[in-house]
Amino acid sequence: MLSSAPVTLRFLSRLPVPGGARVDEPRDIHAAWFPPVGFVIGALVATLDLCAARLAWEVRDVLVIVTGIALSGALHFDALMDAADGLSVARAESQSVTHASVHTSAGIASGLLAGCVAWLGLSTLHGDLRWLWLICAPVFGRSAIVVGYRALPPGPDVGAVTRSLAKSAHSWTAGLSLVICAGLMFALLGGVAVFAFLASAAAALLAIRIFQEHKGGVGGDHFGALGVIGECSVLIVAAFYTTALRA
Amino acid sequence: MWFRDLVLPIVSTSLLLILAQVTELPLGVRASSLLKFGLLLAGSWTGILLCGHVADAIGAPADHSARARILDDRYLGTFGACAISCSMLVILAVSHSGMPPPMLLAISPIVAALVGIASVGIFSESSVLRLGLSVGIVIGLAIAFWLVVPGSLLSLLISIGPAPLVAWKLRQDRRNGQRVAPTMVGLATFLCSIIVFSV
Repeated sequence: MLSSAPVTLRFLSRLPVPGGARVDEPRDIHAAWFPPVGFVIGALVATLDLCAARLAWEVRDVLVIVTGIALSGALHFDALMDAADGLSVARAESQSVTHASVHTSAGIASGLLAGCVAWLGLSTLHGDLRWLWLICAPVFGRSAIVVGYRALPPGPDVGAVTRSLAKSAHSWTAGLSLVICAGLMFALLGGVAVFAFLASAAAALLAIRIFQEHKGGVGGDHFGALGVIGECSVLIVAAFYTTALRA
Repeated sequence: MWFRDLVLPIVSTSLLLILAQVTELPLGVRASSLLKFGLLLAGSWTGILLCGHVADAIGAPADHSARARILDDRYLGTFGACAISCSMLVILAVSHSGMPPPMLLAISPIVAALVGIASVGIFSESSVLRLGLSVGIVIGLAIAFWLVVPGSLLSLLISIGPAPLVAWKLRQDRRNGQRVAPTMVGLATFLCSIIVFSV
């Protein structure tokens, strides 16, 4: 279990994690480490944001988004665009379009939409709780992926990594990881963290249902897209919460 | 049919009108530029998706058959990605700035859609229908603007200024058998109107 932590971190991020020369096996990637990896990424983003305190808020917000995408290697971002590509065509062509290395207008627009929503959400977080939300969003974003895996089985034609993650997501350690991370965020942010977690989980469940209805079976790209959908949901909750506090 | 293209602008306008009228909303919703951005984007989504393909077709120097092939291609090139990016950036900037009067911003999606439909009348087979539809819509829009925000007629005229040019340039183009001009006229009018209303 512990040995899968660096493997999962290497899978979900572009961080230089030491791990020797051997190739990571798909079975070594464990869903229980998804929320903690989100915590690591969130902490790094929050640290960079604090270091950029002298910059204009709009620029800091853009840097936060760019850093988040860069740290994850645009893994979930690309998954969102691929999933949107698949939604924009007929079911028979969905798989080939999803796996294509180019994007349709729906895919590009979805990626831009996620970036714009994130920027708008961050534009309301120019206060004391900003660094907490910067940590919370990636944690609950990755938790949304685990929730998606637990809610729906992947299709029959998925790769080894997706099969392995689907299996590990149903383990008790993955459930415990979700509870611990949600509890930690509750301790840091208070009651609003519950709404944020529920929002990201609800958005993930709705999205995965839509993907399944359209495609007839979900794959790794669909589950990966839940990361961005979950993060954006958290930022939307944060934006409304912060705006309400100021009103 | 172009009736379906009216659904999103109608929904978007309705919700934006509610947002503009209601003074007491819970949780600071009224102040949220996120809602405005989402609703404006929803009202223009059809045009946003199509503008990428039109930009690729126009941007590539090609004959008519190549242009038609590019229009029907499901994937986008650089021009297409830039067109979608720029359109969304305009909507983002307008919704974040808070500058446009709420009522004008609210009616911009449906106004743009109606201007786009008016361009359908230009291409109609029947000259009577063509003239009647276009004139009727434009007169209706002018009256609506005069009633909603007196003094905004000039803004409307400036907003629909690019419409005839866009309609003329794209008069022969189709994507998957459907004319692209009405939707593109609508998007151009929408983007111009929200920019003009921000002044």
